[in-house]
Amino acid sequence: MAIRRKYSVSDVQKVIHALIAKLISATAPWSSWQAVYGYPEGEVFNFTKLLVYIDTPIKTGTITHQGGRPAVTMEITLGCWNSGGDEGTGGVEECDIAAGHLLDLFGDVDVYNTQFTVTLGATTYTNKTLYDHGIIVTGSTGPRNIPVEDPLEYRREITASLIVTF
Amino acid sequence: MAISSECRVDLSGWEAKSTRIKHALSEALKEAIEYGMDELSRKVTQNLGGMRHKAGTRSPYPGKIPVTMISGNLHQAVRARRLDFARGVVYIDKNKAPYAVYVHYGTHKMRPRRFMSDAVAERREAIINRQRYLIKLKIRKAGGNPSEILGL
Repeated sequence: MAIRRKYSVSDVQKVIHALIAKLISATAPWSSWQAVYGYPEGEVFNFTKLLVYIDTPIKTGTITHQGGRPAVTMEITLGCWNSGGDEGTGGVEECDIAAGHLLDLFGDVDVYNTQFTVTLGATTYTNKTLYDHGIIVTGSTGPRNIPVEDPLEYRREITASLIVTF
Repeated sequence: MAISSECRVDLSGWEAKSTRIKHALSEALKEAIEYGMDELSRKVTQNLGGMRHKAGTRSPYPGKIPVTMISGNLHQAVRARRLDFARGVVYIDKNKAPYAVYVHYGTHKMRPRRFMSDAVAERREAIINRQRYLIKLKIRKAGGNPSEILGL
């Protein structure tokens, strides 16, 4: 269990980001996209690739049980942002494909098979799975269509529900 | 001593109790929904009640809750209404603040301030606990056993 209780928000975000980044570095069609930690800031909006952003997770509850430290339930928002304009990379279809892949990733046991490396605090955890980090995925919902200002841009968000143990 | 030749089955007491509990349950549900909507509206309004700053200037707290105000329209646009017997909704009046969705989900130039989903995440457990308590209380007052009826 690598997640630190007092840093659980940023640690969970880092772990999920590392998982997505690993898939993007190694697997098609993920390799056509880029992962962004947190909400995408202005400088990444060049849309050479579709953006997959991993937003800050929110704690939604606590699971207490006798004889152990309570686990927490969290929800994390993952979004896809794509442009169908001149700089576009697939437009709305690509955006839906990415959203579908994210939904499927968090709805399948395969999410526990991917090994990735992440640094939490001063410690680097090499080739660990989500389960090794104490994160259990309980489901995913979406995609929600998010309104954008530019009519040639497309944005979807999904929410993954997690149980984080320490 | 005469032995009665008939055996009467009288469920009128059970029926009366059942009716009382049904009535109590519907009252409790109404109260629980009202409570949920009130609590959520209060939290959403609180999330939208940040400091004021002048039009055309950047928010002094970008991406942070509570959302800073320029006109205050969004702060005043929180509405709640019952959809039916068992459902209610808290929403933003689009006519009052059509830009609400951009504040919530963010844009190229503006970080998201998820005033609604943050409020839900923060208050969900408290609202559900309170609703459970209200329903149990009403059933108990009507003479029912909440554990048997609700399986809680």
